[in-house]
Amino acid sequence: MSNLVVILGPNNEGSEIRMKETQESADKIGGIDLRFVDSGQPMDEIIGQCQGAVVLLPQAASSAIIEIASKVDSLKLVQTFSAGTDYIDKAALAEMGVDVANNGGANAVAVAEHAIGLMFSTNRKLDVQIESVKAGTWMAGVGGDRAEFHTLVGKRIGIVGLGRIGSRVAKRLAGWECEIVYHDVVDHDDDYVAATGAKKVDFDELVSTCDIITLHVPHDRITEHMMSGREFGMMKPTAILINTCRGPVVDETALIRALESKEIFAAGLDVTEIEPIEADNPLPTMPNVVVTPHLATRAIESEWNASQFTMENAGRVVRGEGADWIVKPV
Amino acid sequence: MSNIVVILASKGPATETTFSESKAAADKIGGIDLRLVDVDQPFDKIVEQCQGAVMILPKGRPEFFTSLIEKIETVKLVQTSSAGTDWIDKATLAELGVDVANNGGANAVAVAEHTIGLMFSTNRKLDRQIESVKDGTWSAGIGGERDEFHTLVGKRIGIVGLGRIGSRVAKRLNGWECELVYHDVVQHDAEYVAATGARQVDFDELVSTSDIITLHVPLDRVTEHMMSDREFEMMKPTAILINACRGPVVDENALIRALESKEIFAAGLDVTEIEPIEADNPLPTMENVVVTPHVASKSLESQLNAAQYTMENAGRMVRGENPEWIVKPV
Repeated sequence: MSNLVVILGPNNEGSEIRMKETQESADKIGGIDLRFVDSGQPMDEIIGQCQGAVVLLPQAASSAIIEIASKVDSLKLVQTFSAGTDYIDKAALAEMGVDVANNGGANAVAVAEHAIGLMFSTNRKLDVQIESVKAGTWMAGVGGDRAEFHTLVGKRIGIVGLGRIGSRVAKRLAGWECEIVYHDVVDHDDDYVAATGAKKVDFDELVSTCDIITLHVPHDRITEHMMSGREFGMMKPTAILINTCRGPVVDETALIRALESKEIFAAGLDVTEIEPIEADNPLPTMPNVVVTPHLATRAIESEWNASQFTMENAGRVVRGEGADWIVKPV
Repeated sequence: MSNIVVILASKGPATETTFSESKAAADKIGGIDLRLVDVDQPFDKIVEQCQGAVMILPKGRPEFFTSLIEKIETVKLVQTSSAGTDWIDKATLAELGVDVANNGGANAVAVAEHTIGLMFSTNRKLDRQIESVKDGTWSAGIGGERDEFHTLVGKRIGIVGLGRIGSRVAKRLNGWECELVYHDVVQHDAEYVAATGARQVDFDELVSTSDIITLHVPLDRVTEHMMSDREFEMMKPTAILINACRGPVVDENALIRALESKEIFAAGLDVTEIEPIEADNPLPTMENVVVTPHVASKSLESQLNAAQYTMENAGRMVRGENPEWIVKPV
């Protein structure tokens, strides 16, 4: 078995730091020949430099991944630095005998914190509060004549997908005096669920009874537009939708309609169907909507974890063991 | 003993709502003759309408308040609907034999949530994230080429004042994988402290070793400017200060200097020394500073709690019992 592991990315400062951190992790693990390949080169050059690689780590979405896999026979695993692998054609890779693995929860905490941050921000119109101070109007007009903000006490929080991120959201809300329910297509161990404090309910019950719904599912053919006209019609008019997973999991046109017609109260979004968001998308400036630019994962701790976790998987493949965190094509 | 209880407030829809909520609470308790007195009338009228009151609950901060109390011989308790009683001359009232009580933690949860919201906002520059999306620049320029944001994992959070608010901050951070320490001049029961998961340290240790310092003390002569040059110098250069108690607890000029000279990393403030904040105060637009307009306590739940708790104290007064939540002059 070869021990060549390739990071494919643009030749910039970000890649340099990434390479340095992963090299440190790889050195600790041992037996990994880590190589950086500049994705800005001609394809022939890239293919040539990837020959003999068993693991390929793309820094970003790239059409080169499939081409490399088809021309580098030694390749066994495409390893992402991200939790989502939706930008990779896993079916095509599977046909070539190449698995795809995600980052094993490297940024799960960062995203879980961000999801709760968005709950708070929408619950209290934090964006309006901050803007009002900057504009010199202090609290005038913030929250109306009396308070219309809410705490989480007694609220039902619905977590769709109790995986690495969803479970961490649940654990972080344990002290917030709210009720936590979840739905998942994955059957988790009792111990795992008990540690989250969340109670399992079916999807329609979750959607129709929750005060806050937060999405933590991968984007695939089944989850695409899982929140659409039907679901918004079922939600409470006071309910808030939080999306920090992938934009297309929510039917954005239906969401905009639901917000405009007050079918639901608010939305906190770190992701949108098209990113960067298009200039004519009304969401960022709608009342009761808070949009952040797909940065939920971004924390130094996520980066350190990603370097560590991805190199652990690289070590497994180099040693001829099975890789962890494999994501099957759906 | 008289059973007259007066709410002293400006006329308006907010007061109407407060009064009807308080009335509903008072009716359930029974035996309370609750009256609304318009604070914007001539002083003589106010004095006349307050005659016979055993408890007065001021909304807002009327300048003549002490003179009013001097003229109402029946009054035994001044009850606030807020947690802070710093604007009331408690020493003079004590000489008149009048106690002052606060709201018994009516808004403690709302403030605790806001505190954690400010921790998150400063840790991730949430204001910049939201503004950037509204400006149409998506994530460009946020957090640099790579990440400079942090999660709370492994961080030491220092809570100054483990009272009704501080203890709720601690309980809410229990699932966040951080270390909680506190300092308090009040000696709490061991059980009370154990429920918060926080460990007692002395003030200087808290200041010099915490990654995030959050203030939850009343404003009085002892706590005024408790965070000043000496403390900012002791803080870690990566540390964040959160203030959701009272502005003058922090020496704002010293804070601005410490932020400008990067003696500390960031500040999240719901309160400022002068409110509304003055137009030439640099804080709202400083990098790494998030200012909200003293609305941490604002939530419907806080209002409902305040109506309930203040009327419970009113009930105690009309029955000739001792009120709860008395704040002594310092």
